[in-house]
Amino acid sequence: MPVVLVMAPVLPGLWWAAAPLADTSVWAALWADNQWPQALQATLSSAGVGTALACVLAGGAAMLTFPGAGWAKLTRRLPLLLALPHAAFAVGLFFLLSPSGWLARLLAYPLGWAAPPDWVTVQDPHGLALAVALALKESWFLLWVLAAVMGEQGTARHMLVARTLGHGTASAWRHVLWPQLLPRMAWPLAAVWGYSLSVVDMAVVLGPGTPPTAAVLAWQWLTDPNPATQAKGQAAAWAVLGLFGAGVALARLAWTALKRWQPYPVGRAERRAAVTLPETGNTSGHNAAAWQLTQAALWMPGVLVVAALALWSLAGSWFFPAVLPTDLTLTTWQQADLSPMLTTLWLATATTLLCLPAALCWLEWGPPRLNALVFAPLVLPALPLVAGQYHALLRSGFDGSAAGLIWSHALWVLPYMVLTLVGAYRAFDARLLVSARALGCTRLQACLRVKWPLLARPILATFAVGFAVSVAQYLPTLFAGGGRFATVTTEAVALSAGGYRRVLAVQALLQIALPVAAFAMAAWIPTWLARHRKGLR
Amino acid sequence: MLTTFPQLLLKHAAERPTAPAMREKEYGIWQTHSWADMAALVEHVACGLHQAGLTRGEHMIIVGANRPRLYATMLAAQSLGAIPVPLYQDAVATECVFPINNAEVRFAVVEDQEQVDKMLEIREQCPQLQHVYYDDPRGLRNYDQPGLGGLEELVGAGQAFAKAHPGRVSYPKPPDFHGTTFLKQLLLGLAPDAAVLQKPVDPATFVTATAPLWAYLDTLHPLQWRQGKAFPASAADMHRMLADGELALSITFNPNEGANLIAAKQLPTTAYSFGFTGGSKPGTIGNVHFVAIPVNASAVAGAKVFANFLLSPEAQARKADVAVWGDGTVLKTSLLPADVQARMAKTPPGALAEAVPTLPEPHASWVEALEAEWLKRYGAR
Repeated sequence: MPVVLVMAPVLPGLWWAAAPLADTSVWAALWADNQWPQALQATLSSAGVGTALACVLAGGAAMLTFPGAGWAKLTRRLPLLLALPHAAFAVGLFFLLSPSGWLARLLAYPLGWAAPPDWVTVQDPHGLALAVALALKESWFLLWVLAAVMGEQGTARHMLVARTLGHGTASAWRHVLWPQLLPRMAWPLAAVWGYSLSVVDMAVVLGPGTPPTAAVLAWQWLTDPNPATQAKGQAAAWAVLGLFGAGVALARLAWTALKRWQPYPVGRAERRAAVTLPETGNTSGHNAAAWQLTQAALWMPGVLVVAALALWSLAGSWFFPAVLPTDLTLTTWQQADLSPMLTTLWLATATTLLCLPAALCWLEWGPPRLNALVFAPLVLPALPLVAGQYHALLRSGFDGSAAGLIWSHALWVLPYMVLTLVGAYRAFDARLLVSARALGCTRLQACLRVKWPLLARPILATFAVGFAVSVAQYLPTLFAGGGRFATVTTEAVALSAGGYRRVLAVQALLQIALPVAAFAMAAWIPTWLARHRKGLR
Repeated sequence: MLTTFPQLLLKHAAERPTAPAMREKEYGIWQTHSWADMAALVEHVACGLHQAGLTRGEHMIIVGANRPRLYATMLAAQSLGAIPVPLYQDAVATECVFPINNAEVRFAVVEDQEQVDKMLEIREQCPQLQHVYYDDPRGLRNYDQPGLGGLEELVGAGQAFAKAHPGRVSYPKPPDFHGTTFLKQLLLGLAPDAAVLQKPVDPATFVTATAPLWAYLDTLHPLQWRQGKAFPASAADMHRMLADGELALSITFNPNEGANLIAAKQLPTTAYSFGFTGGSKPGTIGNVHFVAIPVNASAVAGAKVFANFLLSPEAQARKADVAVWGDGTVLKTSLLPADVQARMAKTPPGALAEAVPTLPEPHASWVEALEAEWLKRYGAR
């Protein structure tokens, strides 16, 4: 089983990585480190605020626009926003928000600033800039999952029934939709929490420095040549995992308590009055305002980030407080180092091409009960997993090799591909497969000739998602690649510590361009394949 | 050891801010100026003089009785790197002409109307004397000569400038390479006995040798960008902040870096480079490139060919070109052909013009000890 090949070697790696932790002196050293308490606090505040804000943004957007044209428009645009890699988004946000950034420049002229204000907008001690970035980025992911879940559950019908029974929109959401949707959103929410805790690439750009967040600190320690410091890094990575577990347990406890405290939310006498009072129906004006609000909160940051990156990549001289560059030039693009892009291209293509058959095999023949195992890497914090992978590669002598790197990426690419494809795969009309088998095909033949060609569109979308996931990998590329493979992501993060904003902007844009190109291909190829088949278009 | 008067002033202001620094009788009553008042006054005079155009290495005359604000002015001039030249307040005007002209003085700070009159009297003979500031404005209300102004107004302007430009100095966070070198450079100047730095570090000497360094950083950090609670990630990050005016300076190893950054439009053309050429310990820690071939290299012969290429005059001349890389040559230029010498000799705008002595680095073992101690002291806010 290819899936076992991807997953299994991580376990002994995790075991080896955890070996030094049996020694209590490692934990003592971790707690005695003066950077650790504040790092932990910054991690908790950035991940906590980020996750909570992401929920508010995603939930708010859904409640404001669903059902209606706005919701359809929003969900159509989501893939574009999702294709925006984390590192590039963080870099673009830095260009916007830093004290000498675009927004400060817009304020400089009316307020008469000659020099950037002494404001702590990014790299703030509590990681709030990082929290905002995480909230925006993860709210797109949550909305995307929410849209998929709502599609499966026929939420539109529930909404209709609730409205006919006299519920207003808010009331219908509160009493009918959220109680059904929230349990389904548990794992995506856990994934957001886990990602926010262990994010390194965004935290390097936007997070605090003295000390950095716990994940960045653990990463710095893990790359230290001193074995004692490395062990401290391992302990920190496991502490992040513990934090993740604690958060998930706490949320679960809160949910159970909530259910016990309020088993039948509409059944209580004092609430009945509020429920039966129908709210005034949505007017189109309200809808338009809601859509504009959603657009300002979710869509505009993405557009502004890309605009800032694009402008910087073309800028000549552009110093504070100039709102626009004094001259535009193509030099940065002409002199751009394209080798990281080519590395990313072959790496992502190879990983995705290897993972696609694995994902198809898993969906066709794999035990559905073990799906949770495949999805585990999506939810768990990446840092301990990467450390485990690295140990496995070290022992087998594959560290710093292309094969090791591809394998390391596969641990995240494969689950995302399975996740993306599973809905369409399960929804496939089984009768077609039965007919194929009845006509004498083996199961493999039936898949090759009927099922997979019919699923070309979702399969290609899956391919694009896998490609985008591989492009965005930062920690696995650094660790498993032994620092020998520079991708657009590692390059963008490395350049973000420097001052060359034009080159940084170019690398960040290349990082955006690759997944966008993959998504565009995924949209265009099925249409081209189906050019002679009206029903498939 | 703190080596300059402004440094001593900051130390006193940090350690005993409310203790009296100076006393002066005003209308028959003793008035006290604390160390904190003094440090603030010096800062504001310095900011005012900086804004008025006083630059590093320039001379400035001070004429008047021994009054607190005139001493503050001397310290202010010194903290800008300028040289205060006090003249006797009872000298006749003509006696002042020679020192003013000899030192090409543009700035004068004087006590009162009597001294202002003297300065105005010799103005014809000293055309470069542009700015005259007076401490005591009595009798000067109707004077409207150009360049004449009150010290009070200068302090006010300086205060506004200081408020508008808080904390424009910083250094990269160690263990960043440039940040650690900054610490090493400070240590070379501050350690009581610099000779121990050349030997491997041991815990006892580390404590005594670095104590003045930490004391210095404790005074410096509150004045830094974000009060020393955050640091730029790297020297390149500082270049960006310098370009936008977030910081007032940046640091580099490369004498050509300023020129390179201007050529790449990463710094405005007004940027300039300077090195530490004056004082009792001139010079900075330098940087040397090595082309090393590891013992386990698989292609030693090829590596040697490549190293030879890197060291060839042609490659070095190309490397020195600001449009390509802008890193100075490692070769002894006097031995090279004349045309290659000419290509290397250019000093592009923004580059370091003067030769700065290279100081010997502390023993390598100090690096790790310094970085660990720095992280322990300042790694968390």
